[in-house]
Amino acid sequence: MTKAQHREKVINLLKYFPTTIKLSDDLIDRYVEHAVRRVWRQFVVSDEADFRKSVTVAHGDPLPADWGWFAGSAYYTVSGEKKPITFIQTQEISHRKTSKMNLATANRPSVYITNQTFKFIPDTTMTNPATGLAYAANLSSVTLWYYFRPTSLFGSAVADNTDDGMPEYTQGFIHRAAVEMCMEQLQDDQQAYQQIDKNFSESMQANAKFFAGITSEQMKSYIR
Amino acid sequence: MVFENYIWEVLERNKIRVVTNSMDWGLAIQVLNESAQVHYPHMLRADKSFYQKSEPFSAPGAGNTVNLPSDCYKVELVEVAVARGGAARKIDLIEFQDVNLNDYATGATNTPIYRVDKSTFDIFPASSGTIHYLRTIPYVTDIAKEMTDPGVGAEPPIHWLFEESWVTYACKLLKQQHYRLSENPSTVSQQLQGFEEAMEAVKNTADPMQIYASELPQKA
Repeated sequence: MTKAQHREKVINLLKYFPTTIKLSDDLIDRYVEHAVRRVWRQFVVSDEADFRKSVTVAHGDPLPADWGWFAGSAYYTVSGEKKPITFIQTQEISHRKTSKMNLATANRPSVYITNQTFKFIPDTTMTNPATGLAYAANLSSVTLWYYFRPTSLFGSAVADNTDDGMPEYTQGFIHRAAVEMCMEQLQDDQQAYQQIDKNFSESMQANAKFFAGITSEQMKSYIR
Repeated sequence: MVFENYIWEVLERNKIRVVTNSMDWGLAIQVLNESAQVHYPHMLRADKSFYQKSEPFSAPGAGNTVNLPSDCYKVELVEVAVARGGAARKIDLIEFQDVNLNDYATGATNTPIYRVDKSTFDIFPASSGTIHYLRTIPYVTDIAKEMTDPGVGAEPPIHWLFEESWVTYACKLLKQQHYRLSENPSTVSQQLQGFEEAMEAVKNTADPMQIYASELPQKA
């Protein structure tokens, strides 16, 4: 659904409130954008395939512009065979590089993110245990999957016909969430304060569900 | 999205029009930064990779001391290009010890050690390498700064998934501030209000000096 369609829908839902006129289009767009992202966080857990994309990158490439979250799967091709890549944190680098039980090779590579870029090991600072020579090049053409960030809908730079990129079945949830957020502008001070507090709590809860849920979903896919 | 848009959002959602524009602007910047600090531990725990950063350092001179980067919150790993098993390797972190008096490493090139202090780290023997650390988030005043979107090399301070709760919490803080000013005004704000009334009175009278004269303190 496009930015303009979202706005129209929210205004329609709010039409019985006489103070609707005080809400600027920009503010409604902003609430819709917040709502899209909140709903994204909730639905990516239950139906992650709808929110997943792949990208091919090389060592040192920046994160894609719509990067949201690593989707738990990546591979590197060695002699026509796809080798899975493990996602690690920076404090694990040394372990992958030096531990004899866990030495990263092109057959068992790892990826980590630093400076908002992808880095792979083994890299050229390492020696290939098979040949005893330094790796001539870093890994490149690595394919990895990620959850993309929903399209931004706020601001004059975003055209009214911009699509939010969300599945159709999420629309009702988006409008309901956006209307709830608009309510903070349509109530008296005390109620508005409570509404802000509620919006804040719901946003944090959506995050908590996302981080707990996505981990468990990814674990299921590993088990499969 | 840049900082200016979030300032706009906070002001628009709070609709504070009782104070001057400049005061709104400054307060919005302040509450957004306060909210960012409140969210930092949550964001860090949720997605550490968003805050991972690395920077090369060169071999230190006498004293073996290297300055930590100014945005360093926590050192994760110091990596030096020392050949051991053919790989660049992590070196060991020790605490509360003079690295130059290391009984175990005795200065061997293959077994360097380091110690992290408040704003520096000591490394022995002196080596070049890379420091991996978690970046902290700065107090932002630059309205053109990219705040949330990763992937553009801008090192945004706010994780995009926390954008809504970050700006909503800032709105909450600003509303609290507004209540403090409007419902429980301080002596200063009461006096400012009085000053505004006096200015109105000056504008509305043909003889402003007469108004002022009546308010001047009188000799006992």
